[in-house]
Amino acid sequence: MSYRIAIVEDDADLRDNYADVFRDQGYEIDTYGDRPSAVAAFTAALPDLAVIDIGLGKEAEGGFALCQWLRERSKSVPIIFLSARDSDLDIVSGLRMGADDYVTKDMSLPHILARIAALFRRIEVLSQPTITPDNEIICGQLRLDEQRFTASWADKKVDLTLTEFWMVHALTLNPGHVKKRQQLMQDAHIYVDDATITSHVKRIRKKFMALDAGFDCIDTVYGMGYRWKAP
Amino acid sequence: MTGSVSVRLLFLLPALLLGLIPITGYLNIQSAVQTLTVENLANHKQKTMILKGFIETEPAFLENPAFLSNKPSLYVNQAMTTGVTLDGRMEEWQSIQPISFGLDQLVQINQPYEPNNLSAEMRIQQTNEHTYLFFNVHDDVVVYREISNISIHRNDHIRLSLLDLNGNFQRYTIATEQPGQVFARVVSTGGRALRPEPRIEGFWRAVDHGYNLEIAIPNDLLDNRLAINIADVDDFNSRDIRYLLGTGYTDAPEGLSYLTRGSQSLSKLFRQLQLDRVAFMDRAGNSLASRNFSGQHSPQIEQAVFVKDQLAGIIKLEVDQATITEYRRSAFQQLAYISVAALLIGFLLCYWLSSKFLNRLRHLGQELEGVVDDQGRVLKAMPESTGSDEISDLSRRFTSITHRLQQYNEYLENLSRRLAHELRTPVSVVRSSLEQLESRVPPEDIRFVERAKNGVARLTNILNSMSEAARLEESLDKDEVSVFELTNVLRGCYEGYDNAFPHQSFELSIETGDLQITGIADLLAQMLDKLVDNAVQFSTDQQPVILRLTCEAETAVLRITNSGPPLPDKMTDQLFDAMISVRDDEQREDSHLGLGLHVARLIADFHGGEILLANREDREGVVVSVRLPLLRLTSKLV
Repeated sequence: MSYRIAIVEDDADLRDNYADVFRDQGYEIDTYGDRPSAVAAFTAALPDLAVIDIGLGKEAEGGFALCQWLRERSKSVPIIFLSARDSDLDIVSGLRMGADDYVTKDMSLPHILARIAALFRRIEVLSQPTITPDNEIICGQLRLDEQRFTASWADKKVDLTLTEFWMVHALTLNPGHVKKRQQLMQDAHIYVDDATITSHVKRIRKKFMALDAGFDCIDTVYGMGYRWKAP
Repeated sequence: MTGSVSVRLLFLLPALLLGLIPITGYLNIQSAVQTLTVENLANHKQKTMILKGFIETEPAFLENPAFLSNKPSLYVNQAMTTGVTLDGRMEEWQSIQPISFGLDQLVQINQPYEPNNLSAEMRIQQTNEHTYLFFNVHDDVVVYREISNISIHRNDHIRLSLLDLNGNFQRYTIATEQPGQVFARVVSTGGRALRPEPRIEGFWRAVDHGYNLEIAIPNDLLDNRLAINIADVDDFNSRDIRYLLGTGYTDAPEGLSYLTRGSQSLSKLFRQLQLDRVAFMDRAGNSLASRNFSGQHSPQIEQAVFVKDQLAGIIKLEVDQATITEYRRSAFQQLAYISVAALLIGFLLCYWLSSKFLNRLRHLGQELEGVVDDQGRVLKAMPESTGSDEISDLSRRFTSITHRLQQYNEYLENLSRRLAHELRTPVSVVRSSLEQLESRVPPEDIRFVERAKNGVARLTNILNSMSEAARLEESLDKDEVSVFELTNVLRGCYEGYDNAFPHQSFELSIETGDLQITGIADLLAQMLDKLVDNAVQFSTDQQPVILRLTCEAETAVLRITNSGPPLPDKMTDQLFDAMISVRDDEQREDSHLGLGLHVARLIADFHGGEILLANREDREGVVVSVRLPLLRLTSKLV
């Protein structure tokens, strides 16, 4: 069965571009130009995944409202924010609304497709009965499930977005080795500048520190990048 | 401050107008004094006219018919002492005006007159009982009477003629055989000496220049007319009279002169009329009556008095200016007090007003100070003034201007971010389209798609750096502040630069121990990246970029030195502003909007530090100095 993706984007050209590319990948695509039409459609039937822009026509924060509304209807529908806004505030807000990932419009289509595929894979894996994962990275108290894209710290689940998961994943592949920012960005399938990496790392640290106040495994190597401190 | 001095001077200028007070006051007083003087003079004149009227209608006030005679009268002084000692000495007579006898007073000449032979002075004074005469006779040869000689006129002698109280004409001669007490002798109409008259006595004193003779005549022998002759005999043998000097003939009543005494009734009249400093002079200039008349004060009013068309005398009145002088003095004193007080108060008032005004201006200046920094950024809102006067109005205008400036600055600051945001979507459209196109164009045309993608990538870079400053300002407000080791950050960054810039060598020298900095280490690293990136871009030769960290007076100082072209002199301050870049076109390998240094400065500001950009002393390169306070908790950081 093919997945149904809803694209809510007020720019017609971009919307159509995404729609075309996603269709080529075999997804079913529904496109909406504003929040009311999206709400109307979602009321009738929920999509399998929603890609939402934050500014929707006249509603500067229409995407946030739609995400909130959608999350109330369904806990499990994956939501990706796709926005021109790249400020920390917007990213944090978007993730708080319950979005699974937040990518900027700078991101190339293959990267976006990788995220969508990863999210669908996670749904598939989660729907299967629990089996002992074979693709698991264990690094001290950290466990990364490469199939489900989930992370846990000291057997407690760490709620990472896809981007964050990939960054942690990249760091822990070679613990103790410095990951340059550029490498980190490639591994996380994102294309953003240094400052955004910094704020991503900040958020990852916070999520770990929420579970363990003494967490200090991610080391900043100033001027170069980050490394996962081997236990 | 110099400006305010001149404003204060302007304020003090009106006070100088108060200087007109003494000037106008002086002029007023002068004119008042003049008016008073004229009035005073007129007043005195009026008084003399009244007096003149009194005398002319009632000549009896003069008590003396002397003015009716053509002969000069003999003025009789009223003796101050009760009696005069007859001793022939001058002492008691010093104060009395003498009547001189000389050529003009010759009564009879038998030989040509020689003043050396004879001249004399006579003084007259009167008590209630006697009339005293004093003769001071200059005679080269004094010839006394010989006892054997019957005649009393063949020697030096003095002749007296008078009318007694009964109106009878009497003649007397005084001669002596030797100096000493003398008596008068009655002389017959024929000129013969008759009996002595012991009531008329005197004293003859021989002196160097001749003789003094002092005579007392009882007032009951003498009415008001008298004639005197001084006879000179110089030849002991012939004993002939050479001259007679005197007031007139002594041998007939016609030769008598009037005695002029003071007038009691005139003095009384002065008192009744309450006249002061007044005198009445007869034709000979003798004072008939006076009251407090000094004769020295000017001005005097003189008024001639006529009786029966003849000059009877002159009224002299001294104009009393003491009251005017006193008025003038006190008026000037008052004026001086008032002027000084007015000037003082005026200056103090002007000074107070100017201080108040200047203080408010200064206050306004202080409020304006620091509202806008060197780059025109509004740092804080200006307090709104609540007053209702012009200065408050000015203050409000400034408030409004800074408010508008702030809005404009905010607009500018948001412009790049909004622009970046707005451009991002169309750029995404282009890029996503290109990505689709990539797989569909024939391989020989793929290069065009590649070029288009390169262009889009550069555009994206530009958009990112445009929003970087805004994003940075957001992250500055978060509470990520901690205390960290600056040397660690520097070392870490330094290690990274070799990888990041493979074609550039670096030198690190840390000339200090641990340096604890309060702030956000990531941001400082970001700042370093910007500065080093900048230094590398401008490095033209193979010289290394030198990072040098020192600690100077509680401040960490990091200097980043590169070799390369010097900065344009005028632009060093502006370089930290957004969108300013001095890169030549050939260096423009990468998209660059001059946002790097702006971001670096934002970070330094956040840490309470500063960045200075200067040319190397040899002008072969540029030094960027970053000064950061150690462990300093700025208000923003707390």
